[in-house]
Amino acid sequence: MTDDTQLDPLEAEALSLAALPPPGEAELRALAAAKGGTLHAWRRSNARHHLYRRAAAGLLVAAAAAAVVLAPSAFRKTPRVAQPEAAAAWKVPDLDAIWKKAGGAVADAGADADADTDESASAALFAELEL
Amino acid sequence: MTDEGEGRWKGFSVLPGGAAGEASADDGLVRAFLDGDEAAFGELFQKHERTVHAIVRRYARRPDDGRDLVQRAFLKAFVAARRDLAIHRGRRPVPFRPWLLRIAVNLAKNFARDEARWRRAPLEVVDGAAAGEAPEQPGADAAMVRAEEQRLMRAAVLNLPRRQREVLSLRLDAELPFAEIAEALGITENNAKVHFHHAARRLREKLARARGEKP
Repeated sequence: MTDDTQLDPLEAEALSLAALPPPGEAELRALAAAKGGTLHAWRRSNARHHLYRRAAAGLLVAAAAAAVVLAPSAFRKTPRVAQPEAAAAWKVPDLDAIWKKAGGAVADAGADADADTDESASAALFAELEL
Repeated sequence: MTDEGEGRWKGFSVLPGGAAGEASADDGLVRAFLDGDEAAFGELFQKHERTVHAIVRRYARRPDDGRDLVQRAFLKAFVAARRDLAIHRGRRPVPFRPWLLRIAVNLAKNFARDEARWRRAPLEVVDGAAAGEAPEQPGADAAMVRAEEQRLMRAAVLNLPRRQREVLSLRLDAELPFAEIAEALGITENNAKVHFHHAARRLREKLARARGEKP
């Protein structure tokens, strides 16, 4: 300890008293087992680490697959739903008025159609009887 | 060294005591071990186990505590190295030894905190008791006084302020140079020296008081 030469004698003595003795047999025996224990603990830690990484990778893959499946429906344009005000303002149409307004035209067209049908049917009947 | 040589080595930072070379060797061994080479682990462990043990044994109540602390220090250092290599994609060297020493200091400190309620028996007492040594011999009184002073000083080390205790332990127990102590603790070399001298002065005062002298 090069810089310790600056210590006064009492400081040096205090430090020498505070210093630990060399490791005893029991300590050395215990230390001899430390290497194997550390390696064993490392293997376990490493296995756990790889397991977590695999689990994390699996989760990522699952999340990506779910995103691929769900993304189209999430981003699809939804049809516009009628606003509540518009729905409230809607009134049942007056069907009678519509009927009256359209009735004449329908009746005329129907009468013409019936007349055409009757005439053509009569003509066909006469043609058959003459045969 | 010639100009050519200086030019060739310009990119390298050379630390005193060949620390750069050792750090580089450690880096290679750590990478090899993390790639699955268990022989590299054996080499690394053998290289640093005594230093780590020297740091933690002051705080260990029993030999098994020391062993556990050594194991945990190495394990944490390897986990930190694995994480660092993953984050930086192996581009920067792993400062394995400074990490290991810092981890050992922190583990020992935490262990001491957790075990604070226990009264520590010095390990040599445990060893002596296990071996059945008989202390009765000529000069037993002087030996007893010295043993008492040793107990007092070792207890005083544990009661030093944290930084002083860390520096003193790394200097006294692990016999590290101040530059390496500073690197391990993340302080400057001068700061480490100042802490060491404060610690030595406190111990001297304690010893002087115990002897009834003027501090």
